[in-house]
Amino acid sequence: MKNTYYVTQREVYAYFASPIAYVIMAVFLVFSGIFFFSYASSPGNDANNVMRSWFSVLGFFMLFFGSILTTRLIAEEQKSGTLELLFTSPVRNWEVVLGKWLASMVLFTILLLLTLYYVILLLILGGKIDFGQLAAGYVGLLLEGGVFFAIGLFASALTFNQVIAAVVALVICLIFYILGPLVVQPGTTDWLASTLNFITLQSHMQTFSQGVLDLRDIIYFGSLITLFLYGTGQSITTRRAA
Amino acid sequence: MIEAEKLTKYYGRRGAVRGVSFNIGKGEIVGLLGPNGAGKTTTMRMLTGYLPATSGRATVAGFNVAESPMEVRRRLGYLPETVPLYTDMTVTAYLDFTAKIRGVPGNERRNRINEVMEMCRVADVRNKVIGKLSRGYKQRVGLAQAIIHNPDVIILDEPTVGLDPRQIIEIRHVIRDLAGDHSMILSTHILPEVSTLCDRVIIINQGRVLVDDSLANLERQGAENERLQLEVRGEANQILELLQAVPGVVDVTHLNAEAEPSEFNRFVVAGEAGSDHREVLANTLIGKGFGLLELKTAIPTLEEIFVKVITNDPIVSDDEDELALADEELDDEDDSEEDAARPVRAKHQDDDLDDMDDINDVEDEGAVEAEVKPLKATPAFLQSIDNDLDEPSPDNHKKKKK
Repeated sequence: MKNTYYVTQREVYAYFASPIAYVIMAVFLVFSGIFFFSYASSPGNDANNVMRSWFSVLGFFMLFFGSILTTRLIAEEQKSGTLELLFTSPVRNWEVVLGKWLASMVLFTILLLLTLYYVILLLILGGKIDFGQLAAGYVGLLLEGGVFFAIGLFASALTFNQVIAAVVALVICLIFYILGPLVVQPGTTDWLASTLNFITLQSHMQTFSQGVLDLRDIIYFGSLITLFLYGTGQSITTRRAA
Repeated sequence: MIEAEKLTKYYGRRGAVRGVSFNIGKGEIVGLLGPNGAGKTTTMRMLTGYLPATSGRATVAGFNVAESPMEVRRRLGYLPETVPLYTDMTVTAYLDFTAKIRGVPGNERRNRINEVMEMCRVADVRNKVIGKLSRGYKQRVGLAQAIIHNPDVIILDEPTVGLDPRQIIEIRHVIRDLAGDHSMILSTHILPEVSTLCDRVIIINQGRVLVDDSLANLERQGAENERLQLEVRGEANQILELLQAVPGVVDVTHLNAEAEPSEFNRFVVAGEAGSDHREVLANTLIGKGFGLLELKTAIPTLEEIFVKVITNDPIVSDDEDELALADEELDDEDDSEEDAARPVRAKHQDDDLDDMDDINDVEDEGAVEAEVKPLKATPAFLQSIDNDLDEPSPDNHKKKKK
């Protein structure tokens, strides 16, 4: 477990030692700021509505940020040979994978903390905010980010090439994001439709943005994260054996 | 400290390492020699546990690599061929990270990092970002990472490749300073490195051990062969006759016989083993009025032994496509033949480790030889090397390039 912490520490260091973290933060904040501004300035929107719309659009943008943040994490180490260092050190596969995932979560958390600025702004402008709903929204966003990061890591372990990894990650993320609405007609209620809807991220995101913390949703996100992190570990092991 | 027992690695159906066995004791420094693609890196990776072996057993510091990889990794320092550096970190931060994951306790870490930086002579760049360092520094930072946890066993894969002569000398100093408490394998294809650093040499080619002997042994036995090199001023044929008449002289070769006749002639004289002919030869030549310009004992150098061993190694059957691969001239016509052999091998690979002999039998069908035993540097062996030294056939040259 200590090793996981060391890996996380190093990855966070690497994010901030290179321009990656700063560029991503700047772009993220510009985009989220533009959307916040457009929601906040549209007439008749109350503070809670603004945040709810903002959460949902940010959820969509995480599709891209998720893969940008994570696809370099393993592909780059494979390329530079540092993976050989990690796997000849007394560190276990899962410790490395978990450490890297946690590092992206740390960066994402910092990003989300910076967006609390919007909340403060709304409060100053006299908005009345339901803090329960706000917290649920943030938790939902974090969990969604966690799934995308896990997918990004998985794609990163599949290939040496960061560009291919990013594309693969994006495709997998998109499938989870829009599968239900894409295939299922509104109103159909057979088992296939409900299964597809259950698999889709969006349906789980909605409950969060309504301010509901449902255990089922948390388990859903948790299992997806576990599944892809496990897949990442397995993929690294298999590639090494070849 | 390091034991390899019939280590074998197949990439698909290509045998990169086939049944490599050796044993390295505590405090020994062993040079792993071989041409490019001989299987040095693969062997080392199997010893570290980075690559699982197809069959065979590796034991490092008393632990089986496959069964207790974590115990092995704790006692192992490894510098891979591509130095594993995080180029965006500073030297100190990088060594701090490697010390942490290698399990150096927190209270010792700082001292240990400073110590290792002094040893590897990178202390002056401690706060620089690794990506901005010169190649020599990078290599030494890589070495520092390999020894940060004071491991029992150190494995260095081509530690001096791509360095300039001054940097090579510096890194050799570092390696020599490390000798003593650590068992070390270092792979290289630079032979002087072995002479200056190692106690013992293992030469591998086509994934098999060809020679496993101490350097002192190789050199001493080489010296036992009475072989003298002379440069004499005078008429060549007269000198030749005179030399051949000296008692105890077995063979005389005129080295510049093909060149334009000249006053200065060079000869190699092979004498009966066990006696010194230098004085007799000198007296004879001077007595007859020839100008003796040079007289020295010719010892086969490591280069010569190496080239001889490699070029005399018959090509193993399944290496034909391996060589073709290396030369990038894959011939599609061979495929039918290969396909026929594939199912047999695939079946055997899934079987137990003990079945290696069977696999070899399948491969070696139609091969020149069935099994190559590691050669000891016997006098006869070195004698045969001697004989070939001065007249490398054009064929040898061709193979050497490969």
